[in-house]
Formats: sequence, C-alpha cells, structure tokens
Amino acid sequence: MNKKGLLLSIAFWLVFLAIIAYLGMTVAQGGAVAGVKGKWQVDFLAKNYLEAEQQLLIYDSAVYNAAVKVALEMASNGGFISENPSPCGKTSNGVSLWYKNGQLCLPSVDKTVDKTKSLLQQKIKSRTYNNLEYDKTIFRGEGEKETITSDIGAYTFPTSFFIDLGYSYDEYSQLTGEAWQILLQCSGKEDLKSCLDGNKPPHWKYTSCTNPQFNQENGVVVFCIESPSRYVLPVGEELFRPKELVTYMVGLDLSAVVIPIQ
Amino acid sequence: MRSLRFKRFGKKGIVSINLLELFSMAAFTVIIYFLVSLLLFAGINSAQKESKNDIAAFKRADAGVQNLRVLLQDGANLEMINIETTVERSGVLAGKTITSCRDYVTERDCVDDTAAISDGTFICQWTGTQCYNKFRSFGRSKS
Repeated sequence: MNKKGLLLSIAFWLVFLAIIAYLGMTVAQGGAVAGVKGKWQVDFLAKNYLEAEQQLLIYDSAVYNAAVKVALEMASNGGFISENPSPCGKTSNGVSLWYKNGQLCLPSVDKTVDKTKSLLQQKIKSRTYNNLEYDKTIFRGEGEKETITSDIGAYTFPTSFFIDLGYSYDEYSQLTGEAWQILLQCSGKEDLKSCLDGNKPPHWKYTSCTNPQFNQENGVVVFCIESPSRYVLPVGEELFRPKELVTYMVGLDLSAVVIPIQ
Repeated sequence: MRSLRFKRFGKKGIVSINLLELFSMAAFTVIIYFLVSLLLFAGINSAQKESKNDIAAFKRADAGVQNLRVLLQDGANLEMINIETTVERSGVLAGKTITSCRDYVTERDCVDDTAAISDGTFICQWTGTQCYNKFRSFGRSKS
C-alpha cells in the first residue's frame, strides 16, 4: 500500500469508527426512542388527557354525591330542605306536613338546584357551575374550561357534567296528586283507618316503611311512601355502599273536611 | 500482484488498487453494512419496545379511569379513595384491567389480590358473590 492508499485506509477506518460510536451512543442513550413516531402523542395523552379524565372523575364524583345527598335529604323531609321547611310545620316526630288546617304545603323541587349548587361549592371550591338542571334522571350543569399544562403541552377541557342519577324529582308530582286524592276521600272521616286502607295507594305505608302501623295524633297521620317508580339511591359513606329504595316521610292532617276548589 | 490501472485519467488522477485491497474493501463494506444494520435494528427494536410500553401504560391507566367511572355509575363513593393513586396502581390480569377489588371475578384472585392493587390501606375480601375493598382504619373496617 502506498502513502495515498494508507491515508485513504486510515480515513476510512476513522469514519467507520465514528459512525459506529455515534450509533452506539444513540442507541445506548435512547436517542432513537425519542424519534419514534407517535411518542409525543402518547405522552400527550398520558400526561394531559388522562390527567384531565381523572380530574373530571373527581368532579363527577363530587357532583353525584352532592345530588344523592340532596335527593335523600329531601325525601326524608317530605320534599323540603332544611333551609326551607314546610310552611305547614312538622309533626312531633319531625315529619314535614303537606296539609294542615286547610293549608296545602306541597314541596317545591326548584329549591333542589340551589341546595345542590351550594353543596357543590363546598365540595369543589375552585369550580363554579352554571345552569344546573334536573331533567328526569339526568343532572347536568355547565362548568368553566380548565387547562392542564405539562412539559408536553397544554390541554384545555370543559368541566360541564351530565350525570345519570337514577332518580327523578318528577315523582313528587305523582305523590302530591295521590296525597290530594287521600285528602279528598278521607279527611274528616270518623273511621279514618278504614277509609285510608281503602283509598291510599299500596306504596303509602303508615308511620314506617319497614314496620307499618296506623297511628294518628289529632287527626294527623304520618306516612312513609315508598318510591312508586322503585328508585334506589346509594346510602352511606363507604366505597361500595348499598343502594336502598327511596322513601318519603310525609304528614297529613286529616281532621277537617277538605272542600275541593271548583 | 497484478495492478489495475485506469489510464483514462492523467498521472495525478491515477489510483492504484491491487486485488487484495479491492477484496479487503469489499469485505469491510459488507461488515460495515451488517454492523450498521445491527445497530439500527437494535435502535428500532428498543424504540418499539419503549413505545409499546408507553401505550400499554396509557391503556391500563385509561381503563382504570373507565373502571372507576363504571363504579361511580353503580353508586360507589369515589370520594373515599385517591383516584390518582388507584388508577396508578391498576394491574392487568388475563387481559382485564383491575382497578378496585370489585374487578376480580374469582375468590382466589380476590383474596390473593393477584394484580397487587392494594397500597396497604385495604385488603380485598370475598363476600360470596363479589369482591370488596375492606379498608384498614383504626381497627374499624369499611367495605
């Protein structure tokens, strides 16, 4: 090999070693991985989208619990909330009256939204929800947009919710209709029990849903009404809490005759 | 050894290569080709492996979130748990993502916590038909 050939050979080996070293270091440091197609997208999904989904789940969980709590509280108070009790007052056992001394005090489910909203404000202080609405079994509301920023980028998502509660406040209109029928049929009757036995719907139980017993106090009869649509809601604070049939506690003053408005 | 000469060029442009050098160059070229291919293959292979791991981790976490969403729809009180930790600790058992004890379908997997989802704050307990998270807290159990 002459001098020129030697130079060529040395140059060749240097280039060869440089290529090998470069490729070796690239592989060792994972450099080749960074250039893989779809890596950025997967990282974006993992660090931003997934984070947002978890955040939404936390919000939805708080919304669901607040809605369930309000629904159960209202049912046990005969459709009234503690801040807005029945104008007819309560029985000695604390049961809300729907009728007393000629005054009809039917529950107003409009207050439900305000109550749920204030509960939500306590649970999720950082969020504000607007246009909260119950539509049959669906509870929905509009939330502001939220942005999650990571080293990959920013992801903005809406925090509005749409939750199937599995329970509808529409039941109250059926119950108030049934209560009105009972009042028309049995108020002022001497044999109140016989009249009620013959006229009350089967889901209206006396005093308690588990152990029904007729009892009256100055013509006031307390009813435990089982949900006519057989709605069930989770009860308790446990992770896997049991679902129980929704029951309404209502008192009716049947001592005086009700004159229907023509 | 006979030399190959390219006499089309002038004296300055003459390159002298004998057969041995020619074969050596060819052999080196082949070796370089294989080495470069090997390194590139190793790089692509490791990239694919990394990529698959990332996708698998994402899919597991996403399935974990969906599992919790199903629980919420079923009335579970998710405010009792740390959602982020629960999703992170999700495991895979026979292709199914296990996020809470409720996801176990057999008593053995439930009691053994086969996917190792517990962070020590709860154990999985079988109640005849289903698996539940039984929390450990000051001797009082919640399920």
